[in-house]
Amino acid sequence: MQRIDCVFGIAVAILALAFVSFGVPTISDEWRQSGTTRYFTMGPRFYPYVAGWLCVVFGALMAVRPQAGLPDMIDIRSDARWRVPALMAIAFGYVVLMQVLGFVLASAAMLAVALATFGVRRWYVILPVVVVAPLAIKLLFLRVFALVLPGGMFELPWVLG
Amino acid sequence: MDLVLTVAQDILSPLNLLVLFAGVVGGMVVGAIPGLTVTMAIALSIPFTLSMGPTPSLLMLLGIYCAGTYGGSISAILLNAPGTPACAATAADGYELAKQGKAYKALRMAIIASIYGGLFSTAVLIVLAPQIAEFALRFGPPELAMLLVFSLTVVGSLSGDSIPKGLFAAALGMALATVGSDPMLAVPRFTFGQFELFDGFAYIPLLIGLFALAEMFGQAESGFRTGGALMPLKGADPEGSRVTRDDLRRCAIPIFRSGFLGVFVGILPGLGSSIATFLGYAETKRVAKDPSRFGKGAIEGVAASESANNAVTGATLIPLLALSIPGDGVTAIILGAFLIQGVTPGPLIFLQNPDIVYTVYLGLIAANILMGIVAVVAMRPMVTVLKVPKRVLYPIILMVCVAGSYAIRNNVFDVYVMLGAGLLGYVLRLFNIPVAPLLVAFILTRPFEEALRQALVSSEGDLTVFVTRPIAAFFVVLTVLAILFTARRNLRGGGLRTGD
Repeated sequence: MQRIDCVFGIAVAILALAFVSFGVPTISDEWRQSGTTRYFTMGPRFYPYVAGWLCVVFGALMAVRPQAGLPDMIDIRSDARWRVPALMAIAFGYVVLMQVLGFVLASAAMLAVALATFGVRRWYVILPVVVVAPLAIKLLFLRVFALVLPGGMFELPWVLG
Repeated sequence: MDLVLTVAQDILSPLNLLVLFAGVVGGMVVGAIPGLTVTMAIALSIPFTLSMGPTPSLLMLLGIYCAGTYGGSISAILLNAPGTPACAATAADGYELAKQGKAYKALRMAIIASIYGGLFSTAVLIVLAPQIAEFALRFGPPELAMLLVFSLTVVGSLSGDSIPKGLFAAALGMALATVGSDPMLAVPRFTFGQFELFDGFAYIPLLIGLFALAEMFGQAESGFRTGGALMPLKGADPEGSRVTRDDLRRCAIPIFRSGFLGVFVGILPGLGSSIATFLGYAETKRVAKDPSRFGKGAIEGVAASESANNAVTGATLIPLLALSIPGDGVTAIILGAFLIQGVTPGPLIFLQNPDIVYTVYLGLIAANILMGIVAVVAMRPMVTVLKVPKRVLYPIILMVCVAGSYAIRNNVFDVYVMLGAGLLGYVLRLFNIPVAPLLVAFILTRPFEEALRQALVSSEGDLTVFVTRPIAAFFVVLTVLAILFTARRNLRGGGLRTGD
């Protein structure tokens, strides 16, 4: 028995059931009172109900008929378990920091932390990447594609030109 | 004819050629690096197309698509680590040839087969797409709704290894697409008062998260490993690097046959190039006089798998151009690029925007030719890319993901959507749930909901409208057959498998 599929399927079915029971009814149903919409047989709730019930059905199917050949539990190598949460934390922190420091400085900080975290120790690799990559991306977006990236508190005037 | 010449002239302008060249080189580099997929490359390049016109943006995406599909063979042959899942079969014989000092021969045969596959599928696209589109002009809302039901069912049930999982991914995509204003009455759904959600989740951050960031999390889990030892390009014997007349003679039929199989698989939604490659390889091995040579350095194995996977490129664009139905993740993203440019693929594109259609045709031909030139001229520098450690590459890609998501609407909210989508994609990946059906369903939901509700408004709520009109009924029958076929396949425990 592939426990992993059973657990996931049950979780999906319960969440989807909550979605159709509590989420979909939050959609306004006042359109029915409008005289101009009397020809509409389905309102804005119809499609979310369909999608939600499909999730319930397929979640239940995953639980009762798990995929063959899968392990009972998710198998992540023990030495790799910290890397995904670390990368997620770095990504989230980077976005928060970007709003304060701007794209270039936040990117430089993120790159330095990420490279160090994932085992890059040589300064002659870290330094060029940290300095050149954020500036190159900022200039590429701004000058070539006319797309603005966050300036933050310390916008570099010479970059914006 | 005048229009064809005008489009050709436009494509051959220096700026457009430069963009195509950038797409081809970028695609080949990304395709060659194991762990970076074509889908990821196309997703990340979408923000760059925002400030371009339709012609250069399409050329860039087509260049990435064609060259990226081929690029996977470089690392498959030299590293025994396929750059893309579609090149897994290439590694079986390509790496063996490289170990025998014949890496150049394998790479040259791969490019010959890839160019043939790409050009053959483009020819099929040119012949078939207008015919299908002309037929599709007869579709009203009931026919369109049932066609989309059929597409969603096929994509969901054929992607991945399990029907419930594929269909769940499609249903999840449908649920996510309901966020935002209702398409008929503009009633807000699940917006929680956030004005950023009134138009629904922005498409580009979602796909960058699902395909690029989720892949990055997956690579972090595996410790950013690269694969086997990098084989040298040239062996001691220079004769071993040449593709001889005898090699071409032996590979001609496998290339033709696999090209045909690749086109057939590419037209069907939900299958993808991985299946085409394995079908082409398996069929070539099955009919070979000495099947025991396969897996030990048979050049026909490389030729067959590369012809098949590149033959998918043009074929997947047939349902996209003619019916506005993306069959896999890559074409779903290309559909998004069309929409960003204000062009809606579908039967009417052949009447309203024939220039765009010719741009796709000629762009594919130009991309395949340029891919051949770049592969021949710049193979050596291309190989040095394989030496860049992924632990350096991925933080830079994270930076591009964030920049691309932000630049769409100058909005940090979209960056959080991208992070959320990355997390969702990673969780789905952990549970072996395919992501492509989610994206395809997300894109098709709005037209599907519109068509469904329009059909029911016009029939005053009578559901028989879907079975009394012949074309709609035909799609209902096809949907039922597709479900029965896949259920039977699933019960027997065998069947097809997609890697992307």
